[in-house]
Amino acid sequence: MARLKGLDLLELVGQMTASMLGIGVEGADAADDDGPRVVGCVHLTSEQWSGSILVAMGREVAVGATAAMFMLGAEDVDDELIADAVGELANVLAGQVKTEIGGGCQLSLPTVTSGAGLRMAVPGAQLVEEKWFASDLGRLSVATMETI
Amino acid sequence: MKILVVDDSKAMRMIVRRALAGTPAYAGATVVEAENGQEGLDAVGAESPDVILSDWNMPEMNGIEFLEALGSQGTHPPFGFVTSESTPEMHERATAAGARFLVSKPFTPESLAAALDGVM
Repeated sequence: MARLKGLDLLELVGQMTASMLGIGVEGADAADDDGPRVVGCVHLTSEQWSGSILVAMGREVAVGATAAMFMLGAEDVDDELIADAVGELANVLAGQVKTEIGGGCQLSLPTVTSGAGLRMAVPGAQLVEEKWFASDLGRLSVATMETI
Repeated sequence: MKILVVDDSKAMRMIVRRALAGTPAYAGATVVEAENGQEGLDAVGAESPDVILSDWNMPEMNGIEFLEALGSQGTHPPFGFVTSESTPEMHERATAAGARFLVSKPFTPESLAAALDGVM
């Protein structure tokens, strides 16, 4: 049985964005987005299984989130700050997931990828679910993947 | 009061700074930053902080290694984890190593201040 199935992602993402960005989120419909995106990823690993948490958003949303996090104007946000901010969003969400499923795994350090037309894949892992959220900054999505 | 914040994420160090600045008891504190446990060890020697807030999962030297290294050097200021990982096993290991509290990310300014209130 997938360990990452059945998580209340709306609740977890809402807690994360409220604390880190000062904004709430609500559920949203899925959307195709081939424009520039930023994706933060953290892996959860144990001897028995592994999973991944991916937080993705358009570049404009990432700039807005980074500006909010660092209390900067959007014009002062650069790629290094975006990577730090989006990586930390993924890290905090992965930590919440780890706590939610009862531990028993290790978190990787976050990795962040950006570009247009991104299709993220974790070899051997299957998508458990992908949820979209709307916020004052724009849309973001969270995907959970798992290798059993 | 001097507070050492150890976290590899610049974003999270900023969020901790903002949270402290938003609480009456800690708004005037001097905040010193380090990016990992090794830098944290250096900062403890150079800055003599009154309390240490550290992430757990960091490159170079993680938070529990940092705490254990401090312990092997003798007494150190009150130490608390501010971490995205918060399982009972980690609480147990942190407490055994001498941590005074563990605040889970995401946190509120009030929860961080309450944890600090308990050791100051």
